[in-house]
Amino acid sequence: MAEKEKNPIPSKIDEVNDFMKERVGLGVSFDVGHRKLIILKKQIEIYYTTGLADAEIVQRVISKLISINDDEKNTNKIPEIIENRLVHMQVNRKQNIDDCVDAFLSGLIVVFIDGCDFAFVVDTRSYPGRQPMEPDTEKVIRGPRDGYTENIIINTALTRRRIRDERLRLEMMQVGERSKSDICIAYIEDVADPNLVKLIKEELKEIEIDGIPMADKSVEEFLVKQGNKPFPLVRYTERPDISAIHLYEGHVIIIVDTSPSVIITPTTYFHHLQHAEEYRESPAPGSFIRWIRLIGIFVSLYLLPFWYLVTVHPELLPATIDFIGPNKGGGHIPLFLQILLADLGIEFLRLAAIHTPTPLSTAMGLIAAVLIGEIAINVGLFTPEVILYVAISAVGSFVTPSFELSVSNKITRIIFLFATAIFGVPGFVISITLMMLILVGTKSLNTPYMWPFIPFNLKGLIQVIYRTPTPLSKIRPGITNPQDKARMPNS
Amino acid sequence: MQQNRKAASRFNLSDMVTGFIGGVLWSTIAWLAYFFHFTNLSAADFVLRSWIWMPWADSWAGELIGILLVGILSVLVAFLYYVFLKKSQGIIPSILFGVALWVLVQIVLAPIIYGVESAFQADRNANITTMCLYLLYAVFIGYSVSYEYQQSQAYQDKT
Repeated sequence: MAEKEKNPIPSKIDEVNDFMKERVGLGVSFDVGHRKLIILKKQIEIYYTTGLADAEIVQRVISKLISINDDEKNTNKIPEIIENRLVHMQVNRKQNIDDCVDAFLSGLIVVFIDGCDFAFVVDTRSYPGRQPMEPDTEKVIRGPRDGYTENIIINTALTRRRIRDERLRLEMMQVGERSKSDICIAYIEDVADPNLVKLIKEELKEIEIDGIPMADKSVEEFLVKQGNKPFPLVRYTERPDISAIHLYEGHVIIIVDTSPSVIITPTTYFHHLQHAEEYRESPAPGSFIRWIRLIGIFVSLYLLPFWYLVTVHPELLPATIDFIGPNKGGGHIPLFLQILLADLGIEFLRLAAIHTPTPLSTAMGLIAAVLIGEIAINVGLFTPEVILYVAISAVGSFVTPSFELSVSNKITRIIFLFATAIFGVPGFVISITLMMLILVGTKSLNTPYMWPFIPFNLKGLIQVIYRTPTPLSKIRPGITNPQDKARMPNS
Repeated sequence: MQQNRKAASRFNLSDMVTGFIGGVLWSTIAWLAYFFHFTNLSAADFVLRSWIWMPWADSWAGELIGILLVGILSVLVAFLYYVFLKKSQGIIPSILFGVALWVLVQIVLAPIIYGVESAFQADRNANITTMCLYLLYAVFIGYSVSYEYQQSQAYQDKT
C-alpha cells in the first residue's frame, strides 16, 4: 500500500469536530457517534461506532473519566490524568487523525482532548459474531468441536491456545484501501522458512484493492497467481488443530478477518488428500481410511474415462474381464452423451443442494434418485452400467476431503472423457500424461506441487501413504524447508 | 568442511532409491498398459525374455522380475541424469531426456534386442503410449534428481 499523506491532529477540538463532520459523516451516518465531556474545565470528545464498541465498557470508561472532576484538582497535567484514568488494558496514543478515524471505525473509542495534538485510543471492540463451533466441512468422530469463526481475534486466540510457544509470531497487517481488512500471518519463527515468510509478506503488501469482502479467497488469488489451472494451490482449514499441526511443521498460516477458513501455505497436491479424521484414529485404521480415500479419489478421476475407453474399444479388454461393458448394445443414444448427461445431472443435484433448505432437499433427493435414476433407465435413456460408473465416480469425488480438489478433479475427469471420446487410446494416454506434466510443473509459492511424488521423496511419500504414528514422526516434512528439522529435540 | 561439501554433493542413496522406485513404478504401469493391450510388449520383453528362454519367463514371475530389473537399470539412468543434467531447472530438460531415452531404446536399441519390435513396426497406439510412459518416467527420475541436488546445494549455502 502506498503511504498517504496523513493529517496531524488539530489542537482545537472544534476543528476535530469539523473534520469528523466533513470526512466521516458525523451527523449523517447514524452509527458514527460522539460524546462531549467537560473534565477539569477542559473539553473532551469521545468518538465511537455504534454496534462495534462494547457499550458496557464504554460506559465504565466514561463514568471513570467524569469522576476525575471529583477526585483531581491539578489542571496542568490533564492528558496524563486522563490516560491514567482510562480503565482498560489497551490504551494507545495516536499522533494523526487518519489513524484515529480507522481506529474508531473498527470499534475502538478515540478520546480527543482540547489543546492536545494527540489522542487516546481505547480498544473496546466487540464484534457481532458466533461462538466457535464445529465446521461442517471438516467433521471428525472424535476430537475437538471448536472451529474458527469470522472474528480474527478469536481465531488467533484459538491458535495461540494450541501453541503457547514464545516463538509463535502473529503478525497483523491491513489490506484494502477502503475496507482496511486485518490479515494475520502466523508462523513459528525458528521453524518456518524465513524466505517464505518474506515472500508472503511482500505479496500481501503489494495487494492494492478497495476491499476484500471475499476475504481469504481474494487474498489467495493475489498470493498464488493461479491462472486457469483448476487445481487448488492452497489448502483451507476451519479447524484450529489442523492449522496448529501445520504451524509445527513449518507452514505459514494466513488468517483473514471475516472468514472462518484460514490459508495454509505452502501446499502440495497431497495436502488436499489428508483429513483430520485420519489422525484421530490409531495408525492402522488411520492408514486404512486414507487408502480407501486415495482409492476413491483415484477412481473419481480415472474410472469413468477408462471404462468408456474399454467399452468403445472392447478389443483392449483381456479375456478374463471381457464381461465389462453394456451387453444390450448400449442404449439409444451414444454412450459418451449418456455419461455426460448423467454427470451433468449429478452436478445439478450438487449445486441445488448447496442452497436448498434442508426440508426441501429431502424431497429433492427423492425426486433425483427415484424418478430420474429409475425412470431414465426404464425409458431407455441410460443403460444401467452408465449410472453405476457415473455414481461410483461421483461418490469418489465426495470422498475427496478438499472440496476445491474434488471440483478440480471433476473438471479434469471431463477433459479426460472428451479426449478419450475424440481420439481413443491416444487421447486417453496423452491427456493423462499432459495433466500429470502440468501438475508436476506447477509451483505454489516456489514449492513443487506434486512433492513428494515428483520430485520424489521417500520419507515424504511414506507419510502420505502410511499415517505414521506420532511418536515415530521425528522429523518435520522437508517441503517447508524448516529451519529446525527435528520435531522431537532429544531423539 | 570442504570434504563435507563434496560428500553431500555426490550421487547418493536417495538418488538410487529414486531411480529404483521410478523404474519399478513406471514399468508396473507399463505392464498395466500391456495388460489392457495399449502396447504389445511389456518391460519383461525388453530386459528378460530377450535373453532368457525359459517357461517361467513367460509367466507372471517373468513380469515381476522384469519390473525389478528395470528398477535396477533405472539406478543407472538416474546416475546418467545426475552426471549430465543435475544442474538443469524445472521439468523441460527431463522431458527432453525422456524423448532421447525413447529414441535410444525404441528406435536404436529395439532392432538389436531379440524379439522386440522397433517403433517403426509397432502401431500408433503403442508408440504413443510408450512415449508418454518414457516422458513420465524421465520426469520422475530427472526432476527428482535435479531438485534433490538443488535442495542440497541451497542447504549448504545456508550453513
